[in-house]
Amino acid sequence: MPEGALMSEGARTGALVLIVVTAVVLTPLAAFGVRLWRRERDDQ
Amino acid sequence: MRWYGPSGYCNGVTDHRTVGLQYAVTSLLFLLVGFLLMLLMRWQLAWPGQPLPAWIVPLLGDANAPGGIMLPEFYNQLVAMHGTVMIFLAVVPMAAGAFGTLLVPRLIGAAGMALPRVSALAFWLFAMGGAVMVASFFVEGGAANSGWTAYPPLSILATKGQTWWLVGMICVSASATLGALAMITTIVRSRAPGVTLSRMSFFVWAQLVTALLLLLAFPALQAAAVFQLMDRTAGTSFFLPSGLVIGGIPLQDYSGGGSPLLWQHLFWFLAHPEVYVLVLPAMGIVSEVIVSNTRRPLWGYGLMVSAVLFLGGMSMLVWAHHMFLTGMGTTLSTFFQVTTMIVSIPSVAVVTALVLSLWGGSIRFPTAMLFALAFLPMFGLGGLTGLPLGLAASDITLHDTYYVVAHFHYLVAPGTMFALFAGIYHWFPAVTGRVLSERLGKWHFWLSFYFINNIFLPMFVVGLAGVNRRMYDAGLQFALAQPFQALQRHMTWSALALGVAQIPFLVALVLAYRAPASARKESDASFGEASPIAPDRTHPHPSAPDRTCSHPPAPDLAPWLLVAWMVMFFGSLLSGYVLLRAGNAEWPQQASGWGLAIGGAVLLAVAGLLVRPSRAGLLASAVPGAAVVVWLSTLHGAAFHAGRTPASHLEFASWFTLTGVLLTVVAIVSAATAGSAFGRSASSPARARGLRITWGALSLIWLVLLSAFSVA
Repeated sequence: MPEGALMSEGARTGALVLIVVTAVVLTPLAAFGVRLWRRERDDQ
Repeated sequence: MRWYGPSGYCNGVTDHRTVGLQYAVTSLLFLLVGFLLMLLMRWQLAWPGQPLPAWIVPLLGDANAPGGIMLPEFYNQLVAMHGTVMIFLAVVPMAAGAFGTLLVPRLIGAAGMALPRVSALAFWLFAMGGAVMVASFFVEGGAANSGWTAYPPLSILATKGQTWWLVGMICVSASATLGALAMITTIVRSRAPGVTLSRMSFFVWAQLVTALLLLLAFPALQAAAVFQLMDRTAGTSFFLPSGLVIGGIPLQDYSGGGSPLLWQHLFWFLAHPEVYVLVLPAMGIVSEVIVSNTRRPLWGYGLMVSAVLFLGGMSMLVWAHHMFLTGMGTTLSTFFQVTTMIVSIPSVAVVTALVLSLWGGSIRFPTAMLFALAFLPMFGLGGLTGLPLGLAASDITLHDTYYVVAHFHYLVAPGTMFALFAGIYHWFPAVTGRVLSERLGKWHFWLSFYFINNIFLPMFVVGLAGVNRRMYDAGLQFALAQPFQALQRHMTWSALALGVAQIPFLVALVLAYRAPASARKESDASFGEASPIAPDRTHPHPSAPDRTCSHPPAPDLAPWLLVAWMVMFFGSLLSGYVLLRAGNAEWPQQASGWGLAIGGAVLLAVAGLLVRPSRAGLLASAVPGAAVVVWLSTLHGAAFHAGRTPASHLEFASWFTLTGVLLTVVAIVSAATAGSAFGRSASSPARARGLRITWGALSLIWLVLLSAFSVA
């Protein structure tokens, strides 16, 4: 594979890791937010 | 309320009003610095190669402007530092730091910030980082000169000022992280009874999403800054590809194999959400000003809240639309074009809701309202002109032209800055007990509105003609730019006039400062019903919150937020390692094995298990952490003796950097655990729980990170 194409391949893999890490963090945060919102709604 | 220096922090002055005021004054000063840098740039663009005004020349010195003629190297410093100062030191600290810290506790009925010392520390880190950055103008070679984006390889080879920039950026980003931690904890845990999530003002929602973005997006830049610091100081090649030739001479003594794309990915992972960090507080301010001056509730409160939450999440998945020209491949380009188009929808929803909120209102037009109303079309213009930049086909033509400069300035200058001025005029009486002159305010608004559009509208024309930005001669060396020099001069005269237009504001500030304060100043009453920031105006709200009663600050949220930050930070470092490894055909050496990965993780997990709410428990917990630090430090030393240095190969560069940073964090947590044993909260179950969570997270992060080095 040419060097430039390999660099693109690397960038794609790196970006994918970043997207996965973001999802790993955002998912529990969103779940926490929804749980908090529901609890407050039920308390009303 | 009064200003305090660092001694105030040491003496425990952490009141949110004081910290908010410190943010406001400091960011206004940086705004002035950024504006003056811009005037120098504009002068050069209007009359390139001609002497500057005689009275300025001695200030710049012969090194920057010999014979009064600005050197290209100095112009590059102005470009880099104008962007840096305006974004990181002026607008974000004003929007999130000053407005957030001053107003959020009041709007949710809290007595103050939930973590007041953390919030105050955030301010001092910001001030320190800003001072380091601005001081870099006086070091050898001047300030950073690789643009506010600090793209490598240029930034790796740049003068010393770039290192100062990186150190300052680490301070500023640490400040943003701590400030966000305090803000999220305050909003989630310190709301008064009755202020439920669904009754919070839109302004508070906007600040919450802003803080989340600061907490989760900044780690990528922090990771990138660590990599770049290593490249500049330890001889690594994270961003330096093999076979680099500079000025016809091959670069010597470096391992190569790095990728400039790595910096761009990590930088834009922060820098695109940073746009929303600028814009969301502005939307919050405008919503409050509109509600107050139309005397009716917001239209579509639920829609707006949903939109900013969606916007916040999506903004972290659009970063590479800044990179269409890097050759990153069509797959990534397609993905990021789609996400970019999607993220524009909630922005439009919010602006539409704000416009519809005007419908049927009994509208007053004080200065604050004029600035708020101007925000709507200015932001709209900035947003709509961004759409062609989000599509690869049109971005190829428009990229790096003045069109881009005009686009993002419409979002930030007449957009966000106008909203910030709206907020200043709106809340000045409530915060200080004094009133800004309406007559001077109107002059300030109309002159600013006229001249700022005279700067940025012509810029679209110049950009569409294809004139590149960042050229110190305004592109005159190319024939296509020459017909637009008259417009460049027009923009410069308008910029100077915009400076003059700020005089009424400064005079109004001085007059207000000298006027006797009203009886309501400095008391909670100034945030009461007579105040425009009563929290129950934006939507149906049964009663104003009881401002004397807030939930006791629950510290259990902070460790989880810290864990979220750690995952993003170390995840960013890991993504860098993966990017480099996948982008290199040969990766022969393995820096470490499974023993270190599993052994270290077990030790850190043991540290978590040993934590008990007692002096003995905390001290016992610190021991495995300290053991990890000693173990890894010894390994670092041994690796050096074996000739495996950070500069020798990217594998070792990655290993030394990632484990070095991990080692630093373990050392800090270990010291904090041991230190807690002697503090007043040594027997606090909440403190012990927080430390357990932190040790557990560190153990998992260790395992994942070190496993990456062990995989063949």
